[in-house]
Amino acid sequence: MKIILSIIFLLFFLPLKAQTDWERWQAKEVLYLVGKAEVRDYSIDRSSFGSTVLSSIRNGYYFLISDLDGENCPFHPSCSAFAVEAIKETNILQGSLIFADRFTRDLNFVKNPNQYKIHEGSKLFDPYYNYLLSETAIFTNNKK
Amino acid sequence: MLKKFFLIILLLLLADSLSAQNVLFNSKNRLSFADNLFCEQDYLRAFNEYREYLKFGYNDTVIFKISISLAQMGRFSEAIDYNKTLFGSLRLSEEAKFEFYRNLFLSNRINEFKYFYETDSFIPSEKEVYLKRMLLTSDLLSMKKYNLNLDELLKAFPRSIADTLTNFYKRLSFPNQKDPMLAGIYSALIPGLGKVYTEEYGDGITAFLLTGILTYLAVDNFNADHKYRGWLFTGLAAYFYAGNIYGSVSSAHKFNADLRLSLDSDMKIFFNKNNYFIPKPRFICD
Repeated sequence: MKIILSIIFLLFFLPLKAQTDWERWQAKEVLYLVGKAEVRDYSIDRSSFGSTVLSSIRNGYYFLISDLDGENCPFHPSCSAFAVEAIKETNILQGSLIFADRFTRDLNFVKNPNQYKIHEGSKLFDPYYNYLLSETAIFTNNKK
Repeated sequence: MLKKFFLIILLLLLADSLSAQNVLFNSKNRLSFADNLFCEQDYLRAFNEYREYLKFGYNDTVIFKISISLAQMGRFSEAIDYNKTLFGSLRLSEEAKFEFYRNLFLSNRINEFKYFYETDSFIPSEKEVYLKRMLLTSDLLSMKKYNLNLDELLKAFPRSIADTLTNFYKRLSFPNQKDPMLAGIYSALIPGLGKVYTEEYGDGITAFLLTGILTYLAVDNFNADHKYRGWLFTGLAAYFYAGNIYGSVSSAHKFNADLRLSLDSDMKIFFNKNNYFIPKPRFICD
């Protein structure tokens, strides 16, 4: 008798369970907080002598100036991160020239809003690949 | 006695529940539920229901709707596979062939599209004009200006969009580009002039002021016999002068790339908004 009752219970249980299908469609929780624009990399890059020197200078700037002064750069990536990235991706000469140009643009008080895309945290998105002197690189990277 | 009574009641309830399930999930109900989901544009669930329905038997309309659901979800490869199975269908062969080409076009498999089109394979009758449109749109969107001919373009599309197409064609073939070399020369002559040439006026003026101030400081310190500071400002002025020349050249490149990007986005929005000037798939609900 108990076995029969258990079978009957299980048979009823299955259709009941089937009705809980809607649980899969529950909405996800949405987070409306603005994400932090830049996650700083404090590590020393030991892949080459140049990278070690460069990342040490960057860290020195972070510890002694930038961290005390606050996140004031209007661009993303910030000028220091941009310089490191530009030098790593190109070479010391081209990277330095790209940085000189960025620094000049940073000094411009009246920035053209059409010149940059807006990154999270209202920063102006200005990646290094826009300054590699290649129209195709700019086109393909911005099309993504 | 009581136990037997409860057992009978339970058995009756079970029988009722099972029979209700059978009525609920019969093929007719599944199909109408799937059709309803399809019209509500809930394509993922419609696709699942149609697949369940196919377990009851073959139905080419259902297979066709599955292919449309998949295409609407962006699962073009699977949609193409379903399209192929309908090439031999009596009623939906032509539509399936057209959807096959549409899915190849929308999934950007243009080489395959061209191969089948040029080898005259699976061409749906009376719809060749739309295939031609897809090919031309693809050339236009991938900016292959040497493949394009304005007359051919205007002939293939409706007359009402002739002006827009001409505008796109002109922007593609004769863009108002800036010469990077000229921008560099301008900045070498007067710092910041190259940036003004590439229409970044604020940056140009800033570069001029920065280089000017640093040069003035260098000259002033040399005149006052402060050699160390003089050389320091000379170095900085030279660095930013060179940086500005580089910046002007890269700014011209960026200006030209921005022209292409803006044309690309304008064309995509225009064609997408107008459904690429090809008819909507059959059975799609408005």
